[in-house]
Amino acid sequence: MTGVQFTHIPYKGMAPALTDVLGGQTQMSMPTIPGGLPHVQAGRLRSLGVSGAKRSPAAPDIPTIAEAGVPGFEAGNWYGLVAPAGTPRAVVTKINQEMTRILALPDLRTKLLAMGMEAESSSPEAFAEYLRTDAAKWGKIIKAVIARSEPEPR
Amino acid sequence: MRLPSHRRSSESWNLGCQPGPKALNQDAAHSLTNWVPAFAGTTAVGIAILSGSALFAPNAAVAQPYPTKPIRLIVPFPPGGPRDTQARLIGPKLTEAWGQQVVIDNRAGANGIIGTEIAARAPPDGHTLIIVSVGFATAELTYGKLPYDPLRDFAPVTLLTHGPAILTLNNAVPVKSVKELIAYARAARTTALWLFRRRVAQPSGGGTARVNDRRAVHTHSL
Repeated sequence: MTGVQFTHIPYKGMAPALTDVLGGQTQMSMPTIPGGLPHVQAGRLRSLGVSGAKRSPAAPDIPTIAEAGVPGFEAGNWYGLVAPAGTPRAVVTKINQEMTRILALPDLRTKLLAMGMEAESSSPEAFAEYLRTDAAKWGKIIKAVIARSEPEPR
Repeated sequence: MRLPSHRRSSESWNLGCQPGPKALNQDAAHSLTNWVPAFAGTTAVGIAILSGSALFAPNAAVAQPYPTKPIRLIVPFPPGGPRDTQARLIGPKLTEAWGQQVVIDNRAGANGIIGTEIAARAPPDGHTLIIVSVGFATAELTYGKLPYDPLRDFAPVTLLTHGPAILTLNNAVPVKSVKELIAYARAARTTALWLFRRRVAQPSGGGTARVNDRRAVHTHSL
């Protein structure tokens, strides 16, 4: 989106990746909010932005990367509920309505926010569309990464 | 990967918009286009009766009791991760509302593929649900052929949560904003290192990559 190249180093998890950023072996990382925010609040790391389309209520002072200089950037994580294909529509609707009620419960929202996650229900149709859009977006990126990752001839 | 964008979502209930083998009955009951042939060639009385029953068909489905037994909520990762924690927050709320136990079934392996396959093959009656995440619909690109089709073998129910990653830097990097970071990285060429948690393909099929392994390191554009 900006044409700037960064070197990607795959780690086995967030903890070893952050350890190396803290130690200065590497310069930057994109952990989850619960993983990264404590280090930022303690002054051990600097945060320049969050990857979502909106600011996170868990860290409202940190701008989105989009508003901080890369318009259109959005790379949030999400979780959703699916059932096997063929589950009766009426059953899907019933689960959807119950989940919509549950995801609005303040105690649940508070607990999820502590994990850096914002509860957000959707209609089954909207979620289906979301899955298609997400697959297309990441599909394009993954294909580009795979193309670049092919071993070079020796 | 088959992305069925050319099919209309109103045609059936599956995400892939093409009923799978076990989806045919349910889809027939809810597809307006399937009712039309029933009207053709009938008498006025027949039309009245048929349209009556057609109108009530969805309601009959609503009346079908659910849930009638414990609900299995598959988490395709080991206990303790974000999916698992969310399942254990949500499960008791569903139990409270419906009086049926929600059993969290951790089926870890192959970065979620094993548990997802189990869910794909479960009876489609609402008593098996699974929590999926980013990567669910793109797994085929990173892992090759899957034992299920993420877009055709599942019926989406609802989004649950979303949360961003947080761009963090070592304090010694002399930038104070994303704009400064871009300028700094541009000047430094490829010295800035970009670590992205599992979001994109793991190259070389492993997590043991070293920095000096050319094959394991690639660059990303921001």
